[in-house]
This record gives sequence, C-alpha cells and structure tokens, in this order.
Amino acid sequence: MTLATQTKAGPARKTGSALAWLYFTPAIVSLLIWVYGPLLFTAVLSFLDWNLVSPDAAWQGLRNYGTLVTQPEFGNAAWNTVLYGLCVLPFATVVPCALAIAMWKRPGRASEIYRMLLFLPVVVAPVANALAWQFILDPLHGAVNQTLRAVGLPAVNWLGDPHTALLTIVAVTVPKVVALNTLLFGAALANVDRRTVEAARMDDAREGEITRAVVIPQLRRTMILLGMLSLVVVWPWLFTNISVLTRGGPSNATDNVYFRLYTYAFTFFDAGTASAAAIVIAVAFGLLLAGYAFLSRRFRASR
Amino acid sequence: MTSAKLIESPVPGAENAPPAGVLLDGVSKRFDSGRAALDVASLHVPSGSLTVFVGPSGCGKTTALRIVSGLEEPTAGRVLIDGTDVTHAPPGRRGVSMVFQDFALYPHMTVERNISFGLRLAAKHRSESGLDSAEIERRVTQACESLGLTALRRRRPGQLSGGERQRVGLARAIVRRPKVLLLDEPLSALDAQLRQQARAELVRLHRELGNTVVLVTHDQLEALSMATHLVVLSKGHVLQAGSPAEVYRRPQDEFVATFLGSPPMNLATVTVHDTGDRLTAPGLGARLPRPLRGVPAEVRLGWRPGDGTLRHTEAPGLVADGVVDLVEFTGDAMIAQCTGDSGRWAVTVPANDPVPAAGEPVRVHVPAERLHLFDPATGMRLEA
Repeated sequence: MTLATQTKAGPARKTGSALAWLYFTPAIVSLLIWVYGPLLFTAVLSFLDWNLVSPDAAWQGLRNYGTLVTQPEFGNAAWNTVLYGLCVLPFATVVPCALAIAMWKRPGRASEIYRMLLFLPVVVAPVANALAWQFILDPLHGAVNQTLRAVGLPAVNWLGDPHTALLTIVAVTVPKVVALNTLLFGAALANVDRRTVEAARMDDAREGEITRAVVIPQLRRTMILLGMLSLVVVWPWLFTNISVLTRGGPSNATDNVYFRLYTYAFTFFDAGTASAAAIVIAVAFGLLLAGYAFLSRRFRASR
Repeated sequence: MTSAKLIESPVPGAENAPPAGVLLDGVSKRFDSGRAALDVASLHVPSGSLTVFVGPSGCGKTTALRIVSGLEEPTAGRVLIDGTDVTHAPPGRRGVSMVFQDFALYPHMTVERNISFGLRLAAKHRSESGLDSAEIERRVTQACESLGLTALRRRRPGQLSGGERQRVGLARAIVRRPKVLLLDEPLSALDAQLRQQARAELVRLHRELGNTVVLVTHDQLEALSMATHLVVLSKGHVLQAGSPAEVYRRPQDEFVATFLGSPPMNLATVTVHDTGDRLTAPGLGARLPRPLRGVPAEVRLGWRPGDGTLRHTEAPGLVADGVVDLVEFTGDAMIAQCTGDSGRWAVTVPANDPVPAAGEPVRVHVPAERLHLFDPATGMRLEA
C-alpha cells in the first residue's frame, strides 16, 4: 500500500489492492467454510422438511417457523431461556466482582490460595460435575436431602419439582461462571491504580465508599462486557447439566431454546424445525449484541 | 520511646511542649522483609515552611512522607501535627492532603468531581463541617481559578496533559484546606520545560496558602531551589536539617557535601603538618589562617568547583595543580574536569573568563573560608 500512496498511479494502486485481497483470501475462505457456510446451510434447511437421513427433502417455505410459533414448546423454551439469563446475570457480574475486589484489597498468600480454589470449578470436567450433582441431589439418598432430614427439614425433590428444577440447574452451573469471571475481574483490577484508593483514603473515604465510588466505577466497562460475554458462553454449560440431570423436564420446566433445538433435531429427527430454531436464536443474539455494541459506543462517547 | 528521652531530644523552638508543625518523634519503620526503611530520632517540619526531604532513592524520604500522611503506620514512635498525636489517626482525619507522584486522579470523574470528592465526603460524614453544595462549589471554583483549571472543569483526567493533571492533583489537595500539604516527587512526572514552571507555581502556591508543605524529591537542585527548610536523608537516617544555604555551605558530613551541588564537591585526603596550619597532598597545598587543633594527622579536604578561581591570589587558601581532561559548556559557565596528582577534581569557570583547553595545566585557588574539612574515619565535618 505504501507503493500506492507514493506513486498515486492507477496501475500501482490496482496491484496494491489486488495484493491486499490476496492476503485476505485465506481468512475469507476459512470464514466461508466454517462459519458462514454452515449458517447458510442451516438457513436453507429451515425451509425444508427433512429427517436427517432420507435422500429427499420437501420444500415447505415458512412452515417450520410457523411450528415454532404455534406449538407451545418453543415459546416455553424461549421464556425459560430469558429466566436462565436473568438468574445467571448476577453471578456473572455482581458476585465475581465482589469476590475479585475483596481479594484485590487484601493481597497476599491467603488471597492467592483463595483465588486458586475459586478457579477450580472451571477445570472440572462438565459431565463428571453434572453426574456428581446427580448423586448429591438424589431425592432419597443425596447428601443434600440427607442433611435436610438430619436437621428436621422436609426433603425437596430438587430436580423433579417443576418449581425448583430450573433454579437447581442454575445453582449447579453458576460456580463455573463465578470462577471464570472472578479471574477476569481480577485481571481488570490489575489495571486499576492502587494509588487512587490511597488518594480516596486521604480524602477520608470509608472502605465502602472507596469500593463504591472509586473501584467499581473503574470496572464498569468490564462488568458490562463480562455480563454480555457470560450470556453468550453459559449455554453450553447449562446444556450439559440439563442434558445429564433433567433432559429438559419435569414438564419442560428446565427446557431452553438450545435444548429444544437439540430435541427437535435428535429426538424428533426434524432437521427443518431445528434449523428454524437455530436461525431464530442466531438472529435474537445478533440483535442483542447489536444493542450491546450500540450501548457501549454511547457509553464510550459519554466518557 | 520514653518521655525522658523525648525531653532530651533537641527539638527546635521548644523545650517540653511539642512544637508547631510536623514532628516525627523516634519514628522507625520496618517492612516485612525486616529492612528498616526509616529510623529517625527526631524529624521536625517547621510550621509554615516549605520543607524538602531529599536523598537518593531508598533513603526513606517517601516512607517518611507516607508516615506523615497516615497511609503507612510507623513500627515505633509518634507522629505529631501541631502538637496533636496523630500516630493512629486515619489518613483523612489528620488535616493532611497529599499529591501523588503520578497524581492518582480518579479516572472516571471529571476534573471538578475529582477536586470536590473529599469535600462531598466531608459534607456527608459530618454535618457540622458547614459544607453545603454552594460552599463546595465556591471552594472548587476558587481552587480551579487559582490553578488555571476553570476551562478544564468538565474534562476527564485521560484528556489532560501531565502538567494539567498535576494541577488537578494540587487543586484536589488544597481544596480541603489542609494544615499540611504533602507532595511526593510532584515534578518527576513532568518534562524538563514544564518542571521549571511547576516549581515556580508550587513556591507561589505555598506563599499564597501559608500552610506547611512537605515535598519529597531525589533532585538536589530542586531541593535547594524550592526549600525554606531542607532535610537530607540517607539510609533511613536524617543526616542534616536546616535552611538550604546553611546545609549547602556547612554540610555536616561528606555524604551531604557531595550529594548537594552540581558538579559535586571535590574531595582529597591531605596530611596535616605539625604546625597545624598547612595541609598538603601531591599536587595540593593549603595554608590556613589559623592552625587546626585536635584533628587526625590526615583529614579529608573538600572544596566546591564554584569556589575555585584560576586567578592568582596571595590570600590564605588552597592551591591545586592539575591537567584539564575535559571542558563542559553549561551556558553560564564552563566546568573544567581536571586530574591532579591526588585525584580528579573540577572547577567552574565563568563563561567570560579565559578557559583552559583540554590537556593544558591549570592552577586553581580556593579561599580558606570556603574549604571544608571532614574526619576521614567518620566522614563528619571538622571545625577549623
């Protein structure tokens, strides 16, 4: 490109831009093959009636999308997805932020050990973790109900009762979210100048005021970013737990759009409806991310 | 620290009652590593002075400042501010403000909110402080005007230059009307041109506010030019305290003598003759107006490069011979670096005088009253 700017001649500029496209090609081709290709394939599938194996598939227009709207399952799954998101959000933002600040304020050996223990849930194998919870939450022999009975409280069928099942799935999933985000908040705090805390101390700020007025505002962007990011990455973790512990039940109480998609595709072998669900999910998240980008740009502009 | 010891300690301005200003009384500070960062019998900052703590890095000057601020608690000893023991008082309750080396402004607040933060907290914590939003606004406006920040009030620290940030840090510190203002290397983050300007600004501010200012620096030139009271520290101890002129003219030991002044003081080991009024070393000879009494047979003789002259004189004093190695041009003067038979020394030659060329022999004369003598074993000053 420097050549082009130096000479400003037509042919040289053309060579420069051709060269640029040449450099772009590997990235573009990879994106087409692995990202946009499957997306396009999914979009096409969403207009077909296909069972994943038969050689012929019938075109059915928007009927698959109609199925999503008319049958109650997908609406229920979408609502549950929102509930999951709302329940996870505080554990992606407030809780890890508080833990990270607490450890940042008292640096030292104890803090380091605590940090390591907190990170452990991230490295535990997901299915093994879910199976362990299955034993712990077993209505008759599980450790939780045994303990409740021992102190004279009534046993609860944590995963079998539609009222508690979703919250239980959330409870067994969030340690991982908290662990990862505590680490990431810790990284963000490393960029906070400790002298600003000392300056606040000179200004006679109390400990709580230092946290609220000096430390947290410096983490606000991290908080928004991690909240957003967690709402994107938490679904596979929830999926594993739903798949092992409840399979979406009882009476679809723990179902969400991802598990519903999986059910359409691999329980009902209805590739068309599953693909339509996938497209709806992709569009919904696209809109969500666009909203986030818009908000964060406005936030940056106001700084 | 016992009370008997306190009374014994020679504190300027008072016998028993603690003096006005800041007093570090028998203060020591050890860090977890066991290293003593500071160990002073008595360090006094006179009320209303611009006191500069100066010393090489690691001498304890910043630790001393942080102990006054309350951000660091001393391992032993007491901190007194205007006679009140504040050793265990929290930093915000001592009537002390601080400007940090890198200013430590709150990055998410505008300039005016940075400045008013402490006042807003005081209004919230103590209704008797008499601070309402009108009073806070008035004080912030006043501080902004006095430091030329009025146009920048709505900016954030990220949008300011180094000099502007420093002025915001100063405004934030003075707006609380502290009894003592602490400045931790306030000029080191500024570039050379701005530094000169900021130095004058600080001196003007001190004169206007009339409160006690403590400034920490490793730059001896800055220390000499700004201080009304100078404290030289090394390895956690106070070596000398006094007015800059006094410390410069009568350094208490070899360290102070060579640390202050640029180029540093020349030093040579000389033999004292039996008569006591003649000092000699190869290439050096000094004649004193009065004979020395009770000094070792060999002493360290010091003279400042600026006190030497190339003009011949018959008055008593030092005559040193050497060969010029290098001539440095500094604008107002030339510094000739020379080698004599007893080591290297320097002499400052006024720019309008004839300057010897490199390789030429020179003879420098220093008047007797400008000579300094130090004990070769202890490094302490010997009185002639």
